[in-house]
Parts: sequence; C-alpha cells; structure tokens
Amino acid sequence: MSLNYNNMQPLSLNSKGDIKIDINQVRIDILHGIRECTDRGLTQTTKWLAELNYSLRDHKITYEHPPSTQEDDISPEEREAYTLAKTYFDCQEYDRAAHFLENCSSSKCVFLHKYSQYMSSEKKRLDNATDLGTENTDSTQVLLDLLSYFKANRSNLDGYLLYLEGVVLKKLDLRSQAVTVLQAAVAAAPTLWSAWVELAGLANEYEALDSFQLPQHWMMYFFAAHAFVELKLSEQALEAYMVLVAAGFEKSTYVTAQMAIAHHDRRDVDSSLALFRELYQNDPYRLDNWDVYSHLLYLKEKRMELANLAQRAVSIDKYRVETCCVIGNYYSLRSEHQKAVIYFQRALSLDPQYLSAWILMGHEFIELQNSNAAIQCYRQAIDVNRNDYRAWNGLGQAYEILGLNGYCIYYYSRAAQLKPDDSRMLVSLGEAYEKMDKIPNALKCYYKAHSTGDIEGMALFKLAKLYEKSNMPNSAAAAYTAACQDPANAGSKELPAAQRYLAQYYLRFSLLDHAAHYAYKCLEHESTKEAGKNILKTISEKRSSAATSQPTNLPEDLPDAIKNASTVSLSHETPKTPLPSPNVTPDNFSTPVFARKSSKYKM
Amino acid sequence: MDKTESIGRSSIEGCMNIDLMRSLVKQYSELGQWTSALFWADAAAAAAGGGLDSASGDDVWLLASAMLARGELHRAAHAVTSRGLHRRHLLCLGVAMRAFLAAREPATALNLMDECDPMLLEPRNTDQTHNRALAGVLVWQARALTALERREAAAEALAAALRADCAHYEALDLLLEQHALTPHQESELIESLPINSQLSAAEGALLRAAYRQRLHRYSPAPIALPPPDTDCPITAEAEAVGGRMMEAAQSRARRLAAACRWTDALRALDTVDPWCCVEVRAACLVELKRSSELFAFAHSLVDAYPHAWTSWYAVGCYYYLIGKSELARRYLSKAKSLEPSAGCVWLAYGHSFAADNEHDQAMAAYFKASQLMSGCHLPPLYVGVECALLNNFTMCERFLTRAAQLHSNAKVKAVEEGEGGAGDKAVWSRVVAGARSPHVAHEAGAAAYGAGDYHAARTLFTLALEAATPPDKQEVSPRWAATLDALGHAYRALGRPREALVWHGRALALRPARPATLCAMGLCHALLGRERDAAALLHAALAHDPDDVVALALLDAIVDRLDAQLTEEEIPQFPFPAVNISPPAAPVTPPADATNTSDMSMSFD
Repeated sequence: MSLNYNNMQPLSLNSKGDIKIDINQVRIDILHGIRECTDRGLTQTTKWLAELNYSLRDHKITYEHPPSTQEDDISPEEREAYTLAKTYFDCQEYDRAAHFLENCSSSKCVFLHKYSQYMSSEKKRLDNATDLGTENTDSTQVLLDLLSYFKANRSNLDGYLLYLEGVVLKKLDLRSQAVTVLQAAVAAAPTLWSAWVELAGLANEYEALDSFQLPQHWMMYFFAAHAFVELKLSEQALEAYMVLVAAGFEKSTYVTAQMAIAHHDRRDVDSSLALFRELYQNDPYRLDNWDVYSHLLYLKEKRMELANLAQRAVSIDKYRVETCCVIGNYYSLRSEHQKAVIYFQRALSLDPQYLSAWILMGHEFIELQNSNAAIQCYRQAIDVNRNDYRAWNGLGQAYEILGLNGYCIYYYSRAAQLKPDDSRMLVSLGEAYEKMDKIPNALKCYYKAHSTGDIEGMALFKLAKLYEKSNMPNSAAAAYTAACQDPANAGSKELPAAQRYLAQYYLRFSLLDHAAHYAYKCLEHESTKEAGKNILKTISEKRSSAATSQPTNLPEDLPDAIKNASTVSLSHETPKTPLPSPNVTPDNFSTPVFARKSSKYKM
Repeated sequence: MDKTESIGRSSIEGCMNIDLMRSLVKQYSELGQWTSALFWADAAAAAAGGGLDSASGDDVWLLASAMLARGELHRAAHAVTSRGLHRRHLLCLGVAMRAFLAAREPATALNLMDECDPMLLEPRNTDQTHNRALAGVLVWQARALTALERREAAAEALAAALRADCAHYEALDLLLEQHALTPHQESELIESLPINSQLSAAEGALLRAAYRQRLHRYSPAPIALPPPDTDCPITAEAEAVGGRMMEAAQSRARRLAAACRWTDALRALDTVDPWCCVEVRAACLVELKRSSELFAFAHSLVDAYPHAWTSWYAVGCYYYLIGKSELARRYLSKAKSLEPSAGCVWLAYGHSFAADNEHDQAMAAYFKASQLMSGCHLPPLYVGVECALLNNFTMCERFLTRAAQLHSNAKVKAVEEGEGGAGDKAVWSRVVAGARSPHVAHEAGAAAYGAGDYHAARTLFTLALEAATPPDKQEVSPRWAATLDALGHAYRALGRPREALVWHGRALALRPARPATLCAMGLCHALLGRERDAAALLHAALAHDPDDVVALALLDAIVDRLDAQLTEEEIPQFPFPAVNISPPAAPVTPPADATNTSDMSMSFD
C-alpha cells in the first residue's frame, strides 16, 4: 500500500474546485479494504465499500505491483479456530465465537474476539431493554473490561481495534477520548468507513470539525461531505458532493442519496424527490434513507406514492427501521396518529438510537395532544443527538401546550441557535417572550425572523402588532405598511386589521390621502367595513375644516419616509391637477376636496 | 492411638486373644464397619473381664464409640455412665458427652463433666495424648455450652482446648466461626499457643501459617499469592504444603469475599470442590446476582443434606436475592432452628427486614447476630446503618465506632455513656481514627453526611476510597462508584463544586448514564453559574429517567436564567419602507384625470 499516512493535516474545508482523485488508487484501496473488513466481520463498512466499488466498475484497475498472493496474516495454528469463529459470528452466535477465539493472538483473531464480545453485549442490551431507566450493569461491565484491555495493550492496537475502542468510548459517553482514538483509527485504517462515520457523529460544531487531524486520503472528501450533511450545512454538503461527482463518482448510489438528504435539509423538496426517484429506479431494493423519502412525500401530501412506497418497503423487509418509519409516515398522513405511534415504536425497538423515529413519534404525540409522552420522545432524541433542531423545537411546542413559557424560551432559543436561517423558530420564540411579557426580546425575535426571510409570513404581522401594543406607533405603522406591500400577504387574514390601523394612524397625523387610501381598503372586508366608513367620514370632516384653517406643519415625529413621501408626491404634482390618490372620486364625497388638498400639501 | 490406661491383660480363661479382638475393633472402625466393630468390642469387653464392672475403660470406650457410630446414642451413653467410667476415664467421658450432645441433651453432658474427677481435666505437660483427649472433651463441653447459650464460657473452654492441644484445629474452627473473640483477642491467643513445644518445627510452621491465614479473613487479600519465603527450608516447605491444601484455598476465598471480589472468591472455591464453604459461596452468588445458579445450588443441597443448616441458609439467600422476603425469612428460620448459633443466618434475616424497610426488626435481628458473633465487626456495622436510616445519628456513630474497632484489631474500649461530647452531637472523630474497612468508612461517611457534618463525611469517604483501591490499579471497581459519587456530594456540600465535578466525572466513567450522577453534576454546574452546561446534563438525566425529581426541580429553578437573549439592547425600530400611495390595480397611471372612473378598483357598496 503506497499511501502516505504521515501526511496528516487539519481538515481543509475550503478546498473548492475540482480535486484530483486517482481512481485507480481508489479502486485498489477499496478492494483491500473490502478484504480486511470482511475478514473482521465489519459488514456495514464492507457494504459501503462494495457499493462504491460497483459504481466505479467501468474504471479498469491497473496494478503497479501485482497484488501479492492472498495472505491472511493469521498464523496457521489459529486458522481453524478463526474459520470456526467467523462462521459463528456470521450466524450471530457472538458468545460462541468469542469463546473459541479466546487464546488467539493474530490481529484479525484478536479483533474478532473483542468485536464478538462487544456485539454480544450490545445484542443483550437491546434484547433486555424493556423500559427506560433500567441500568444494564452487565453490558457496562463488558464495555469497561474492553476498555481496560485496550488501555493495557495500547501499543499494539491496529486501526480496527482503535475503531472498536472509539466505539466503546462513545457508548460510555467519553466523547473527547473517543474523538482522539477515532482520529488515530482513521489514520491507521483509512478505508474503514465506519470509523469516519463515528467521527462525523461526534463532531458537534463546525469548529470542532476544523480541529480534527485527519490523513490526506481520498476518503477524507467523503468524510467532509458526510459531516456537512450531519451538521446540516447543506450548501457546503452539496458543493462537496458535486465535486465528488465531477471526480468520477457520479454513479454512486451513496453520493446520490446524500445529495438528496442535503436537498431535504435545505427544504428543497422537489430536487430531493427527483433524486430519490432516480435512486429508486437504479436500486429498487435499497431501503436505506427511505425514511427521508417518505417524509418528503408526506410533506408534499402525495398519498398514493407514499402508500406505494410503504407497500414496497413491507414487501422487501418488514422488520427494518426504515420500513417502520415509512409506514409511520403513511399513517400520519392519513391522520391515524395512534397507528403511526405504534410503527415508530416498532422502529425504535429495532434500533433505540434512531433519531428520526424519536422525533416523528414526538410529532405524533403532539398531534394527539399528549404532551408528556411527546416530551419524553424529544428528550430521548436530544440524548441521541444534541444538535438536532427538530427535537428542541418539538420540546418547545410541547411545553407551549403545557403553558410553561419559561421552558419554551429556552428550547426555542436552542432551536434557533442551531438553525439560524429558519424563521419559524424565531417566531415561536417571540411568541413565548410575548407571553412572558418580555417585550423587547420578543420584538427582537420577530425582527430577526423577518430579516431571515419569514417562511410563514407571520413574523411581520406579529411584529407590527407588538409594536402597536408597546406603544411604538411609527414602527407599527412601518411594519404594517411593509406587510401590506408584500404581495405574499395579499390574501392574509391580518390584512384588514393592518389596513385599519394604518388608516387610523394616518388620520391622527392628518395625512388624509394616505388615510383615505387605507380606509378604502378597509371597506373591502366585512370585519373592517364599519371602521372604514367611520374613518372616511372623519376624513371628509377634517378636509372640510382644514380648508378654512391655517395649513399646519407636518408633525415632527412623523417618520422621514412619510415626510419624504409627501414631498415626493408634491414634486410630482402640478397645482392644478389633484394628487393621484386612487379610489377617490368627487362623486363619492359630498364636499369637494381638491383645492383644500392642494393647499394642504403645499406646506 | 495409644491408650493411657492400657492394661494388657491376659484373659482369665487364657485362650482368647484380647489384643487381637481390640485390633479387629480398630480395623473395623477405620473401615467404617461399625456393626462388626461393635461385635468385636463387645467380645473384647466380655473377654477382658469377668463381668461388667471389671471391663476396662478402653474396651468400654471402644464399645461406646461403635454404638455411637451406629446412631445408638443412649446405649452408648448408658454403657459409660452405668459403669461410672465417665468419672475416671477421659475417653469414656468424651464418648458419653458426644452421645448426649448428639441426642440434644447438652445439660446432661455438662453434668457428666461436672461429675468427672477434676484431676483428669488438667492438661499434662508431658503427655500429649492425654492433652488431645482433654482437648476433645473441652470441645464437646464448649459445644454443649453454646447449645445452652453460655457463649463466654464456651469461648473459654475452646481457648483452653487450644492451649491444651495446639493441633486441635476444630477448636480454632469453632472459635472463628462463632466470632467469639475480637480479632485482637484472637491474635493474642494464637501467639500465646505453645506450638513449638507440642509439635515439631515443620508441622508447627504449617500450623502457625494456617492459623494466621484463618485469622486474617477480613483484611484485604493479596492479588497474587506472595512468593514463598525460601530462606528457611522448613518454612519454605511448610508454605508450599500449606499452599496446596484445600484449607488455603478456602481461606483465600473467604478473604476475597470479604474484600468484595466475588468472582475471584468463587473461582478460588471452585478449585476445591463445588460444595465447600456453602455460606461463602451462597453470599458470593447473591452479590453477583446469579439467581439461577444459586437456585440450582441451593436446591441440590437441600435434596442431599436436608438436615444441614447451610442448605436452608442457601435457599433463604436465594429468596432474598429475588426479593421474596417472606419466603426468605421462612427458610432462614428453618436454618436457625437447625443451628441456633449460626450468626450469618441472623445477619441474612436482618437483611431481609432491611430490604422491606422494617428498620426496627432489622436492628433486632442484627443485635441477635452480634450476640452470636461478638467479635465480628459486621453486626454493629449493620446496626449503625439501620440507625442512620432512622435518623438516629448518635447511636449510629457509636455502633460504627465499635465496628471500626472490631475490624481493625484494636483493643475494644467499652463505650461509655458520657463520651463523645455533650449530648446529641455525634462525634465522628472516633470512627475516623479507627476506620480501616472501606464498608465501615463509607457507611460512617453517609451517616455523617446525613447528620450534617460534611467535613467528617469527606474524610470518611476518602478513607473508604483509599481502603477500597487495589494497590496496583488506578481505579476502583465499579462497586465503589457510589463512594466516588458520595465524595462529589460531600465536596459540593462543603462549597467546592469544582472538585465535586471531578469526583462525579469519575463515578460517571464507571457507571455511565446514571440519572442521579448526571443530576448531581448538573447541580454543581448550576452552582458554578454555568447554567447552560447544567441544563444539558439535566436533560440527559431526564432522558434516562423522566420522573427524576431533582432534575425537574432544578430545571424549573434555572430555566429563567437560561435565556440567551440580551435584554439590554435597544429595541429595534422598524425602518419605514418607502411609502408609495400609488394606484393599486392599474399598471400604468394615466395622466391625471380625476374624473376617469375606470381607474377605480375599489367597490365598496
């Protein structure tokens, strides 16, 4: 292997542009990696490597040095024990496999021995996990024993054993040690994809990613992209994957799937769906990531397609986490929330660490108005992954139902921190602040929500209402005006109230044209018809009285924009022609207004 | 065995070979053929004398032994007492007492001893055989006294037996089983034994080593056996032989079990055989929570040995392990009735009460155990724990002091009433001074914490941790993670939350994801003002245990301070967008024509 393991450097996330990957070397590495991982029972890594290999099948390998004869580095006297134990491992009889490998010393045997012990204890933990809170001391003891073995044999741990140590440390929640060990693991065995995945799972923040010391290996690009998807940095993830596609991995189903997930995180449902449909054509039995696929169909409310997907998933494998999630989403779409909960619970009994299932189950409980159960689900989700904004958001919603606004503030602010560009959380946070009477904070939240592109369109109206309540009429009017001008809000229910407020506002400042403009708008809606008529009457009265009185100055506290607006309109005016204020015809008013108006606006 | 009063008589008739008959009796006894032995003893007795009265003591002794072995207890006793031989013949006395004891008439056995000639009951310096017989008699006396609950007298008798015959292992065994003496007294006794005068050097060395091993059953066992001392060939060989004995393995197992290393203790017991040291094995299985193994073991014992108290004790332990206290107590009382002087049964009885939270009954059981095992530190330890649970900290301190003294070989001082400061406040310094056992230190620390004396609590927990740490390893076994947690609590109560975090972190490494530890860490973070870290930990705790009261309350308390938004900043003024009151519907505004009504988009009728 002619890889340069010594070339470690911090992850350079800013390498834009095309990268040069030697596909030949990649294929050689992959084949070697497949061999090593198969011999050690690392099936998930093998599957990933094989998929990648298949996608590169058109590149023929040219060997610099022809591969040496298949040497196993298992000593001859341990070969029988190894073969036997491997078959037991494949049959999932882990204790039996560990028993027969007890006294072996070659590296593959040692790894298989430790790995069998680990798998056996994990299987028992899963089988025995009846309810929350049962301390599982036996499994913990196995993990602690493994750790002491690793500590004792620090010097002769190869990359695979380091990976196992990292996994054990992660299970025991000793995260910083796990990170160190896993970095060493990927340096020693770069094709061990599982180690990279674990490392990505431990990288909580962007800065932490930067601080990793990683080998300069083609796998690093895959790792970087995977980490971006994990951290929901979707733009960078997509860039990274496009680079990989350009470098020759365009046929890889893994790359396609990851891109689809990145689109999903960006809320770009259509692109994501397109990619998933393409995946389905190429690899119809690929159940991985179908939970995301089903979620997209749920968002688009495509019942037929979701039903099809569910049927297909069941026909492929009934007892997989993804299948249960798909069925859960299907029932959720049909509003049969109880059944959805059952299926999500089944998914969780298959894999208690499956984040999406916890979150979706929490959503279902919220629909069922069972806030306590929802809280438990979201808490478990946070335990699995501290940085998923959906869990924090869910907790905020649940506590909102319970009316505990102090908690809501904390949870929504955590969610908003994790996804700063999503205005929904900011709006919820603002509402929570409002309920707790912390008006300044609420105002800031709504303002920020508006500036981050107000997804639901509610931020502006709420902001305006809050300005109105806290006695800041200028800002209120500004906000209402912006809201009214936004074409997206044309059919909004808040519009009439906004327009009435604006009409009254202009009336106070005696800007009668503006007031009349909005008053006419009020007349369009039932709820504000009366108010509109009253305002128009007042306007006409004012106009009649203003004609005789001294022209008054514009009030000082009027916002400049309005002042400028009035002057702007003045400059476009000729004294003879009236102000082109719409919807005002002399026929509808009893008093002529032209002369007075022009005299007024000449100030 | 030589008889002290052998009278080689020739038969009156002259042709019976009495010596042959006696040798036949001996052979058949050794072969276990008691009926044949009885026959020939009968024949010898009849041939040796012309009538009952003139039968020699030795012959009657052989006769009575054979009857006793066949289970004919009263016949054996009668054979001796009817001839009055118990007054003059030590061996016959021994047989008769043995018979009455087996027949459960200990008082009669003691009466027999009283009737005996006191001269016989003196040890003779030169006659070791006599001493051995004497030691036997004293041991039977001790058993009788124990059955009558006169334990101090029994202990004295056993001590006397040991002095008379150092090689008499049974005396030491009984003494140690009953925990009748404090460790200090025990070691004094062993040192005072005239072993060298009674045994040759090699066997003496072996015996001394074995006795010492037995004595040190509560001090921590070495990880590996110490290398043999090769200086003196005699001691070397003694140690080599002693190490191969089953006795050594059993002693090692007892020490390992006392040091809470249950798996190692079981392994040591397994090297002997599956049925040795039943009580130790049962205790190890209970601690390791191997209920199915214990079930199989206990029931096989009961099937095989229904009259042994250890079998019923094991069954009681099984039911205690699975939490069925009523059944446990039933079987333990059966064990008690079989062997009233077994202290460990009363300890288990007390544990079953404690598991049901019935502290008074538990204390009563432990008191009874302490009477039976007056030299053992365990009963006062448990009494102290129960006192602490009932919030009676002064009494708790007294008992724990006593336990500490008993464990650490110190001279036990009688606890006077006026000691320990004025009235109510418990003074923990005595416990601190004396505690060497990690259990005693930890429980004392917990009680001190409950009483509010946090400094003493911290000292005690630190002592416990030191005592529990194996000398060559860095970290204690997970069993002592509770001590680490307790140290964290103590430091926090002393106002040093930063150090408390370190201790809790160590405890968490041994017992990951434990809600109580996570809550405690959260509390420490909150006290240090790091509310966000505290909140993260509390959420983790709640994920594992949604009903954790501490976490919920703490979260309530700090949730107001978790708000990250600043309140000091200026309220943003919304910038007024450019206001254009322009005609809404018409795309192009035609030059002003006020009368053009087609522009109107408003219809308000």
